[in-house]
Amino acid sequence: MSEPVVLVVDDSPTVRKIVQLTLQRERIRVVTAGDGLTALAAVADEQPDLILLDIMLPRMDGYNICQVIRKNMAYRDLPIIMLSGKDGLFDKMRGKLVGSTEYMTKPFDSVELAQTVKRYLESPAVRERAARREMRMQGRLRRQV
Amino acid sequence: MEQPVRILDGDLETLGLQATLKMLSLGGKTGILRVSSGSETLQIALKDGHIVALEESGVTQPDMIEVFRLLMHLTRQEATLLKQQADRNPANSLRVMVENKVIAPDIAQRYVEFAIIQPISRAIRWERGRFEFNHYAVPIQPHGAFVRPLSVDHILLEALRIADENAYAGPIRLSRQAVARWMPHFSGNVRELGLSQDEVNVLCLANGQFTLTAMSYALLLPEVTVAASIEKLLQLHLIELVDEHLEGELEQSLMALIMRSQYQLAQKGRVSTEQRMLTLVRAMGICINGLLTHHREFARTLRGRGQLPESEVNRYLEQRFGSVLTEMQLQCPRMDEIIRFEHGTLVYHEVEILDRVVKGQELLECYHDAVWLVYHFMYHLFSAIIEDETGSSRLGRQLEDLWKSFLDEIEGEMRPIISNHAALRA
Repeated sequence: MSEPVVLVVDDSPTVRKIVQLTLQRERIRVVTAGDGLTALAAVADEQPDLILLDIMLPRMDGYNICQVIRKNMAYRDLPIIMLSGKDGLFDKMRGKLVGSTEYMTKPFDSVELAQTVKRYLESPAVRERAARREMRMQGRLRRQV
Repeated sequence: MEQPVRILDGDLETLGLQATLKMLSLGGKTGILRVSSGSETLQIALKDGHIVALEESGVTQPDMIEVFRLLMHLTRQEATLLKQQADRNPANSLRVMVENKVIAPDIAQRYVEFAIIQPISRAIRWERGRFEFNHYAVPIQPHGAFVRPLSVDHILLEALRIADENAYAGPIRLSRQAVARWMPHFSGNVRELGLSQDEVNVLCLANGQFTLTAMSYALLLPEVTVAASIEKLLQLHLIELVDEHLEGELEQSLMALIMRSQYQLAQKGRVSTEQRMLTLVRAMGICINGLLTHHREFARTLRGRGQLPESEVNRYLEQRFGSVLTEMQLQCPRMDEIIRFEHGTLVYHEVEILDRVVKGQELLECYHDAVWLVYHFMYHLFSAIIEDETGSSRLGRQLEDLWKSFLDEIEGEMRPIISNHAALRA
């Protein structure tokens, strides 16, 4: 099976790179987006298995992105982990209300992040999604051949 | 999925690997033979009495595309294209290289054979341990269709020959998991050292990624030969051996530090230029002291010396970095005494109370100098630390890349401050 894909949405290139280094070590392919609209395009193009989503983003904030993604039936089971510097109960609640799966507070520990991501990637729903993506890719390849 | 059926198991003392393999081969068996002795385990996949694959616990085969690039048989661009075709999965590398005619199928077959013969040549001498054979209708065959099943007789003959050669050469002093890495400060001419082709090849692969076992596979050389080459390169101070565990800890420590510093930097709101400059000094100051704390633990000079007295570590840090700070202070004398090096840490907190003694334009000038000084010191400190701790390894490059992103963020914050300052001066 092909490696799982995680989309990291954060306006800080440093955070994107830290997450990328951490997850690549676990053989996870990482795609990144620095703002809200690019993130939505990446969801459609890359069909990620999990999204790590910052809240404060240029062009569209993390809550709105989460809401837009959840409106699409195809992404109802997609794990979305909110990454935020805000540790308040209100922010966590708001994240839950828009449909996020989990909430992690920055500055996060990279080992803990990798464990959380792996836990979600091992769920049956995510495995099924990855299998569907692989079938689609194979179909595309076959058509190209 | 078909359930395996155990049809044979026992002690290696009663039935050695050689006899077990021969028996399974004669019976034309299909399944997986698992042999273990101490902490080592081999899984040998058989199909109709022929060996088709082998897996060794704790051993990962190197990415052959990367190996060919390091040996200069492929350019960086070619390697990138091939890796894309292989889905960045090293298990697909040989197949992709054959498909793209980088290597002939026979060469790929030699790699597969080598990966099977080498571990069997060691396991054949195991006297204590267990084995079990599980029958499966379809065993694993990881290398794809180009691999020809291997005759057990051929593998056993080769394995015995290598085992004899290894016994003659004596035990390897180095660990099979030892990773060699280029020394960061070699200034001589490698061509003048009279290295053999094998030694040159080992040197090419010593980039801190490949274990001794992986090099042996990559170069199709027995582990004893690779170990001898590594020993020679060590004597010539061309390479060093890396402790992967230490590197893992070092990487974790620096990543956590950069993450914390970035978080500090991101703590902004609608604040004045003065406050913005103070936030920058604070974020960079925390980062500098974090780097110094990290270096206390990982500095090459301090490694392997056990618990050292605090004063000795402080003296080392002050000798190494104190003079650099003093030199930088010559360019902004206002910060003399306000930002200083004490007991192996940077003292910068007095910048935060400067507004009690200076006001207006002069205060801005002081803050500007503080930002400039702390930024340049931090820049120097990270470069020196990373060069000392990781040398020119892949980890070093990855960390430098990460650091560059963080510096870009800091520079993004500094840009309006610098242009404001220039405008005010004008």
